[in-house]
Amino acid sequence: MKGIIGSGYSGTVYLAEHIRLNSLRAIKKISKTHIMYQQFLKEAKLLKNLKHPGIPIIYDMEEDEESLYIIEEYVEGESLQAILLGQKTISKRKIVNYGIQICSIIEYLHTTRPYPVLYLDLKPQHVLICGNTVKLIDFGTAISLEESGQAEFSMGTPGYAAPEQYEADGVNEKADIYAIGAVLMHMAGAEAGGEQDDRASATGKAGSFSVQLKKIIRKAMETEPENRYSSVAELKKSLSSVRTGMDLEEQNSSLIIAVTGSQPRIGTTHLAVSLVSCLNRNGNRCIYEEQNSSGMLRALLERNPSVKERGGVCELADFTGIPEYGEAVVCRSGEYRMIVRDFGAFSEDREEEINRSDVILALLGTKEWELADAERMAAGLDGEKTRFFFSFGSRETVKDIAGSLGLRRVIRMPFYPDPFQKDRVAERMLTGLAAELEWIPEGRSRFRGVKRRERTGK
Amino acid sequence: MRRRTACRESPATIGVMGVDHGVGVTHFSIMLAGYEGAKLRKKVALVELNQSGHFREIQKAYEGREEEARKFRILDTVYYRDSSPQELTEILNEGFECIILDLGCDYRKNETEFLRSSKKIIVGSLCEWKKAGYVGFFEEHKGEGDRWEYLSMPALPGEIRDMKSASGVRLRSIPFEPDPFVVRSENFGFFRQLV
Repeated sequence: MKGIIGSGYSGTVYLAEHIRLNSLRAIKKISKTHIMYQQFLKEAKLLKNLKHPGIPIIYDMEEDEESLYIIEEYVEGESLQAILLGQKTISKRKIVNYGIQICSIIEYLHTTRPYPVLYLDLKPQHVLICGNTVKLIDFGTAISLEESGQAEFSMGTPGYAAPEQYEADGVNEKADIYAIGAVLMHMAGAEAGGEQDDRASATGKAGSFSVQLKKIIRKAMETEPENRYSSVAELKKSLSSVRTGMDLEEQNSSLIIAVTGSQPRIGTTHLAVSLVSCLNRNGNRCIYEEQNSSGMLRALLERNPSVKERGGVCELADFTGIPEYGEAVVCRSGEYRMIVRDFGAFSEDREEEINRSDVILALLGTKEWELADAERMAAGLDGEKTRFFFSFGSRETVKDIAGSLGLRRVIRMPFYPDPFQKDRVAERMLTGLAAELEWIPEGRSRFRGVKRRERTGK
Repeated sequence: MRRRTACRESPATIGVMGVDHGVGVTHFSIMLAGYEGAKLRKKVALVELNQSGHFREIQKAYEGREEEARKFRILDTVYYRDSSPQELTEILNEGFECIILDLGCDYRKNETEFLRSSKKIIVGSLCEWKKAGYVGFFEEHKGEGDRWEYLSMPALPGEIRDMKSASGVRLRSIPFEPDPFVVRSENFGFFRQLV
């Protein structure tokens, strides 16, 4: 016995180690006089027969005169509810992946023999995320499909329970399908819980979702059960096709370079534009994607007659770029070898997206009042992928700040006024960077000593 | 640097009128609103000034149930269903940069709002059983409609050419797009010329 994991109304949970197998177990101790003793016993008996990677294993049950002991798999993770409360958004990819895993578990329950099971209380609190794996916990309200028309069944939780769970006519698998849709919707960032009527407005609020995913949620959450998906397998198939679409989008061979800055007006767009222009001059097919709301490219298009637009792509000298468009726009950038995404000022809700890029270029300020933002950004970025640029600082200042932030691979940005035009000093810096990262042959770079002089702040 | 395009007076109104039932006025209006909102990033409203009930069905499909609220949003477009010309006055003051009016196919009923629009678009079909209706419309509004835009449901270049020759009217084919809520970059050129 290693210690107590938790203690509460339902009993005490201990962490134990199996001596021979050298693996951890959770032991739930429930008093036989507890008001919910029978429910726990029922839950344990139900779980004992279930074998799925998404359902904690019940290894054994023991009892003495006073208590029941359920020995089960020790699962370490964070509830989806805690994740949703702690973060502003979950990425679309994670929403789909979690959704597919939840479907797999529920599908298993619905098809398990000899007694299919209805879960009936699916909600973020009962979904545990262990790394990238989803596990379902708390089967206290689960019933066998056989008894769904006869026995009392759980009304579930408002906001996640299907409408028919509030009627007396019985429930079937469609109730769990509804709940899967509700969990998907709440992962999308809509406000959780509340009355049934909130569902419609909450679906509308999931504005950042693709239209396809919204349709899936709507169908899963149809008020009438007969209008929902006919089975969890069908819902899972729809989610899988969304994931396939995402995979295809990411599968193109384009190198993704994220450019971000510790605060607005620090030169992020300036760097991104000059990088794209430089890479195109050196034979790469590179495009800029405006991933911020500055409206720079649109303003440029309106004010500068030299900027041409073809098929939504703006061109000026060696620069090609796609302005920030709404979600409805389909504009192909996959045919470009390299895509430079200008994320503007760094923010935590784009952190995951930035860190998914192949390379990150991050600009930091050197003024004392800029350092707090610099620290915040540096802490959020994947250090292995990131090259840090310092904007306007002396060599000593850059060295000091890089040292204090523990940064390797730093570059001091030179001053050059026009990012669209070739500038000797800027070109040296950028071709040096490109050669170091093997985007262009090293011979093309005249910026020697990038590694020796600029790689660290020392 | 000189400005490339003149600023529009705000809000611009685009009246879309069909020559016949089922020629795709609502479908095209949604596509146009998507271009204005998602591509040009304008604050755009799409107002239903006809009795087809299409917007109610769209709202039901997107929000999953019947809703009492007649104003709803899909992606970058704000929709007003079952609206009246009186309500249009209020909508004009809600800060939109572009307001598209889906005027259905009853020209006589919605003529006033159509003629008041800063941009007037007529949508028809060149399929054999509807073409005569379109030709008749040209004849009826000859002179009056010289500055209107005439569009057709997706048609072959030859059909467009024949119609232009026969009627003397400059006609364009709406790009084929089964999902009106998607705005493809391939169609930017069409909309840019139109608006």
